[in-house]
Amino acid sequence: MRSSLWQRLLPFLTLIALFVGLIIATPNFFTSTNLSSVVRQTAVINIMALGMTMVIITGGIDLSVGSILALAGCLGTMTMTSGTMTSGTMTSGTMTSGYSVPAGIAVGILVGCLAGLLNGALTTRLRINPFIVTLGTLLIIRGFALILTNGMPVQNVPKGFSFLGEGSVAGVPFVLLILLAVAAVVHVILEHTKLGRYAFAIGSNPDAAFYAGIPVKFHTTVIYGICGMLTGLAGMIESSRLMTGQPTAGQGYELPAIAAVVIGGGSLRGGEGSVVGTLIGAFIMGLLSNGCDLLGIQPFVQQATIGAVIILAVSVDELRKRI
Amino acid sequence: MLLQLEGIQKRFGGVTALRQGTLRVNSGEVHLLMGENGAGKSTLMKIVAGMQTADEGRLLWRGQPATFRSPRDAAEAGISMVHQESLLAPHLTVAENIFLGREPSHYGFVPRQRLMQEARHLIEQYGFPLRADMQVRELSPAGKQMVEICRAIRHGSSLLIFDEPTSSLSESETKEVFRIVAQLKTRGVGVIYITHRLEELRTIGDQVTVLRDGETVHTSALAELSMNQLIKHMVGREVSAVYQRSPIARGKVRLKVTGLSRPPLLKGIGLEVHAGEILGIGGLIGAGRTELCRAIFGIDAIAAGSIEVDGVPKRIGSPREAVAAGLAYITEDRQKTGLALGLPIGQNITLASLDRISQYGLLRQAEERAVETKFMHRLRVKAAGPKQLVGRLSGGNQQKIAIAKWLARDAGIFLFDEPTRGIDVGAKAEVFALMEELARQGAAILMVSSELPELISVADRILVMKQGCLTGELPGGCTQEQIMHLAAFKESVH
Repeated sequence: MRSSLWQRLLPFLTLIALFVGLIIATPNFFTSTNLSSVVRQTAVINIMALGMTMVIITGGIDLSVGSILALAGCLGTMTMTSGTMTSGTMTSGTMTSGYSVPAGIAVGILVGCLAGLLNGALTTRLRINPFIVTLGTLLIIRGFALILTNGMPVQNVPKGFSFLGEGSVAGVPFVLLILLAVAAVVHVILEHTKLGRYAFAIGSNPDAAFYAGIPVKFHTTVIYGICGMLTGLAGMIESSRLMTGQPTAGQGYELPAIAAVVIGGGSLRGGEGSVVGTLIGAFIMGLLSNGCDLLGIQPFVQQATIGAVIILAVSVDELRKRI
Repeated sequence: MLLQLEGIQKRFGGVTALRQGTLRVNSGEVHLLMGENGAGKSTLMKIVAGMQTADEGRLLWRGQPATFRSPRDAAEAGISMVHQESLLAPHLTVAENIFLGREPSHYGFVPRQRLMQEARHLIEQYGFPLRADMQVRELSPAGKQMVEICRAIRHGSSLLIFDEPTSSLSESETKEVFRIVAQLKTRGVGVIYITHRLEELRTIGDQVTVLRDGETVHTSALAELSMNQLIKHMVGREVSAVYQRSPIARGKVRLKVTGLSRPPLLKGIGLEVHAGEILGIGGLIGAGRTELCRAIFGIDAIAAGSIEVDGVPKRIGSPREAVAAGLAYITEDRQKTGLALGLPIGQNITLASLDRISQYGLLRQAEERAVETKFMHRLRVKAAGPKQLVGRLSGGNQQKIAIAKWLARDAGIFLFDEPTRGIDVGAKAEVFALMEELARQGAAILMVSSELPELISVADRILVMKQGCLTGELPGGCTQEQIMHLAAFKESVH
């Protein structure tokens, strides 16, 4: 086993304890309205965190995800509105064709993918530390989104677009289904494909991977591309919930995404991380902030609590490794 | 009596590292601590140096019971350890490193001049080949080792522990270390010396203690012990110090290198390795042997030259192309370039052959399991199972995994760079037996080694390198002097 049973269970038990604790502490927690709102609120970060998991496993990091989310959201929604923009003051979306929504979502995902590939290419070809590269692209991509939209949100998106972020299928939030599907795909990639295995090997020892004949640069770039793709998808969900394309969306989202991976047992040194761990990490943070809201705890205290949880989770993990 | 250890025990979780550690060291004595990897030498020394504390047993320092709770504790009592890997700050100068943590200070300010002067004085006193104002990162591994030794001496130690100090040093650098050890001895310092190099013992050792499976099994004066007796104590059975090769019929040329150049490290190297042959490459450190392997394997770009595999010219510009051509490279530093230590054994074994056990990028798990078990079994890897992390294995078992990776790939041409570095006697014999088996199955093997007796007994032919050139060829079974002559004195043809 890559990790002991205890270590696998500890974050999960924490999540369960938190869940049960909140059921006892407040009657408003275990209601379908509240639970589905938790799912909707956390879905965007969760999906980004899954992409981030792959990048962190290769020993990299992507600080630019918040900006990618905004750019993908803007270009995706602009695609949807390109038909109506010309007709000026039309009320939202009546003129658009039936294809504009899926086309816009596809554009958003594609934009994210390209941005991710750019990060990967810069990191591997110029041999610059990914922290620096993505710090740079964080600013570049954000700037690009602002220039593109002139700093104004993209309005008048088709009504049907709201289904992506706010719709339900048989009472289940649609975003939950998307999240589960993404999680399943990322899990299969990491545990059952060559690409996933190479990601672990590259993160554990890039030199050994290179000497074993693995095309390290190519696979690293692909991983960044996938991370960007998932971030693009997250960007479209965020836009759908806001029903606008916001060039300022997603600021600071990279931190909770990284935190979710780390709480879930991922290591910034590379070679460690899992889908289940990241999901647990993301939900622990989601429940903490939801619980604080319901219990009327100040948002300032919330932030401090989540910060403490991050440090606690990682120190427990480090302690286990030393034994 | 300087140091006396009696009945030391140490457990880590469920694993007993030491069950009966006994050791007595006098002042002015060089005491060799021998044993296979995992025998408990390092644990015992960590207890002496205050990096770990014993669960049971007595430690007497100058006749008084003592417990060292930190390396600082031990240093204050006069015990210092010279580590195998250097624990220095690379961006600081030699002088700063020597005094690190114990700077002569004047109201919190460190007087640079005085620091430099004291360092120079120390360096001159022992004749270290160092300059006090150089940055440590500019030094060779040997230089770093010297700085470590300086630090230990500067702390005024009366007991110095050397943990395999010469494992990455050349012949002349090793002599330098020995000279300093001899000086320490004449000054009445006690020295505990851990080594795997059997042939270097006689030059410096006085007493010897052998550990096996966490127990002290033998202590005596070194002079009373033959090499074979010593090995027998270490492994607990009879093992010959020299590997006995049986001859293999030589087949056609599998690897042919012509005019390989990468100035200034490699100049016009030409060689052929046949099927069933083990070709040895001898030479001093820095002669270009590892560079030769790296160039053949496509890691470093070559300026000129060609490579033929099984009679077909190949353009090898990356390890990927080398692997595709059927080459395998077992590197000299398996932890840095050979293994992913944080991943399980199984995943390391299949790392180079995933494209063979996957379809459309998906891994065929049953097949992967089968490959993992097959090679763990074939190489007799001692481990809990394929899920165990490689980083937790002993040096010998790690080396087996590094080799298994290429066996799983079905490679036909093997470049072994220092295949026995840091592994114990028993594992060495297994590695040689494996190389011979591969040769018998038709593989071509190129073996770089600084251990001359090994080179002589394992290789069919030996090519000797000096300053990037080949200086001559010798048959297997030649003498060490013949190799040294070509490695150190022969004028190259270029």
